[in-house]
Amino acid sequence: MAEKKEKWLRVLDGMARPGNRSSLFWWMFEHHDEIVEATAGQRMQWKRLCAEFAAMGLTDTSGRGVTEANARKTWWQARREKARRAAARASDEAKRDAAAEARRNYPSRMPRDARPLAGEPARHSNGAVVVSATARASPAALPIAAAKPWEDPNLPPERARHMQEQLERLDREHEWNARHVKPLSKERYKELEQEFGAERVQQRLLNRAREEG
Amino acid sequence: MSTIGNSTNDRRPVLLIAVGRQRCGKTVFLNTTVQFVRAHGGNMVMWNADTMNRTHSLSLFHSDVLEPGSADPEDVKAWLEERFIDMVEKQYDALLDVGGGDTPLARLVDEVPIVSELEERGVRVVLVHLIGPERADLDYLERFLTESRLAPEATILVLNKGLVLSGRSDGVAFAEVRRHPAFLEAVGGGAVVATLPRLPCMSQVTDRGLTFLEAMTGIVKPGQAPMSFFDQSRVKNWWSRELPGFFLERIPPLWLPDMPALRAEVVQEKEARSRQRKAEAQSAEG
Repeated sequence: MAEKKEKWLRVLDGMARPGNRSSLFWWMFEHHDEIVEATAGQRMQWKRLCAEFAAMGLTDTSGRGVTEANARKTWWQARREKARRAAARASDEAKRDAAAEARRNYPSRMPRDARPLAGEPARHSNGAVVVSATARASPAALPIAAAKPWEDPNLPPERARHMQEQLERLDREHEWNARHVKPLSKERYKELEQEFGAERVQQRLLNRAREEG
Repeated sequence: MSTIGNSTNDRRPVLLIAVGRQRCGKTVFLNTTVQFVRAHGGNMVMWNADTMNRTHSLSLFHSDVLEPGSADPEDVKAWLEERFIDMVEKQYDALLDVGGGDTPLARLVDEVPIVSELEERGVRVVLVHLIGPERADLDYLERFLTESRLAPEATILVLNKGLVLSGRSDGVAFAEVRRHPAFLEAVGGGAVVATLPRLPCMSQVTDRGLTFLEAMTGIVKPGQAPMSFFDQSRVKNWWSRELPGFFLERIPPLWLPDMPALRAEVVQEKEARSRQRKAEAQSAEG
């Protein structure tokens, strides 16, 4: 029985920590908050840290010692994974809250004499403001990467400058194209149909319509 | 212009490798690059290890492409090793078409740290990620960044506008790419971003096996219908107005082979601009 349980735990551990991640990654992931607090936005001394990682037996994905570049990249990946999981959790919570709020605001549960007043928000019988499900859901649904990515304190200044330069130039280029490039002509649609097949072009158009709501 | 990877004036032989998922424009990019480089006085040796792609392989457009004698992955891997050794010995510029999916190059990279080995021997490895606007393109990039050891400092993320089919603006089409963590990670690591301009009649050119210069000048191969003069004009516009900006302004010059004719053109243009400014200043004073 104990053996079976141990096997199950091993399987679950394998699922939680897929083998394509290094031991250094999981260590950084698990100690993410402590590392952020300890460094307080200062630059990491990767050379010194790599010696510490080696002493702790932490390696890259192939089991080799970690280089400075590898450690820097792994730290980035650990933070990204942390942010991704936090965003997924926030999104789940927002959905649950929205569902609960929708149930609370259901007309059958409103007081019989409840009427929205002009200039004043609608309120429950206990005086609490009625918040719509969508309004509740929207702040948590904001993209986590809305901030300027080059303002990440862990990016070395040279890299941050480079990232800002690259992304701002890309944005300028896209903005210019949006102003100057004409929409697709019927001829171009025909060309694309010949090139890629009507089905694929239709699928793209469908995706586009969905994206634009 | 980015200064990363371009801070010193040490021109070295360049090995250009294009990666990306299948049908994302790797061969089109490499074909365009080699034609542009050659048209401007440079040269590159071409290695085609993409044994799966026969319809639009580099060999269709160029007679001097080197290919492995066998399609067996182990043979291709051995052939690649030989090519790399030859390049180190003779110090020339080269480009490599590896195709998509699990490639012999990926297997070689797993065995040997080829980037550091080649860089130590004076070769600059330039990795080009071809990216379209689809989610799967980003999945490929993410997996590559996580798993592959092929990660030179000279990395270019090429957003291929030729893959934007539905007539959306570039900003909308590539919005997801622009904010994707894998993309930002690569840019934060020093990668350069460049948008490959779209040639609306690209398939008209490639299906005929024509080079862009041939297409512009209306050359017709036996048994083929001629390209319309509108398409010839489109190719000319793309070649002479859009591509120079892509190669010269977006990509650090040391990440491409030397192009002496282009250097001369740039110098002449600068001199002409300087003369014009002087003339304007003189007329203003007068």
